[in-house]
Amino acid sequence: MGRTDPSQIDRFLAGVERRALVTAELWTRDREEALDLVQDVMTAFVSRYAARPEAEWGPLFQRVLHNRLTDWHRREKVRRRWRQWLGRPVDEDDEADPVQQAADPAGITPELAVALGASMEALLAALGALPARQRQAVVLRIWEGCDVAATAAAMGCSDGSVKTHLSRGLAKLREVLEEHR
Amino acid sequence: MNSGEEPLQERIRQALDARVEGLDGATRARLAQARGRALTGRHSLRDRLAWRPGALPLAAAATLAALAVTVLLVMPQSHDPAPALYVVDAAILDLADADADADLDLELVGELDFYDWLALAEIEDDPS
Repeated sequence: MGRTDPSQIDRFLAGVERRALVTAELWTRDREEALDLVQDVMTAFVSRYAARPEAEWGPLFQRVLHNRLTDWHRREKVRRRWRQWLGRPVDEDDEADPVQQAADPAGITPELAVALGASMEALLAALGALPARQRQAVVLRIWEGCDVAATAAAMGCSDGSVKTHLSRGLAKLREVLEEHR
Repeated sequence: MNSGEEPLQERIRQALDARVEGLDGATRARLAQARGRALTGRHSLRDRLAWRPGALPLAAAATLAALAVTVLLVMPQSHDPAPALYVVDAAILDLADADADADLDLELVGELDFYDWLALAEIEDDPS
């Protein structure tokens, strides 16, 4: 890791790992898979970017995480094709990610659901059910507070695409919130 | 974004923050372990294969890995890794057919993470 102080990067990763896990679970809906994914992200980040200036770590970590999520999403599409080939029906017509439309999101314990309230739980479920690109834009812009340029870099798309994905994602989430007033 | 979006955005932040706070101790401990492995570089190829019960024999995994890299090198460069993944998928099925006695864990085969990682390593976007 060159001249980087290991304790610095340890502190950085300790500060982002829980949020990374929650983000990953929005995709995988499975804690074990999300943990594996976060492990991969942290390993890749340390091996590639630990020697970069600390000020760059945040955006770089988000890029690695969201590249990995995009890869995961692509592989899920391949797996769905494989399952389809094996004769298991898959709904390809729905615009939203069908992987995300199953049961409740991972991590919503009964206690947490009560604490959050029905509307929050519905909001998290809806966030998990958004098309992947919209979900990415919402997570990065709204939750992580990334500006448009950093979000575009993490998503590997244009600034305009970020705004479009965000607008559409928020519109869908607004509908959900309205239903639970 | 206009000011009318603020309540929605705040609800989104609150919901996700609550989920972070709701992570149990066991999960937090596992994250810490994962961080430790990342920092020490102990999340190696051998580690990922070794802990999976009924894991594909190492020689077969190495063969598949070589095939995945070969496919990448000979196929036209594309931003869509799907064609390479289909070839690797087919290779995995062929491997199962060729050796019925192979200790091939179909659950592992269904989880393409590791083989896809190898196949995509060359074409994965480099943010820098």
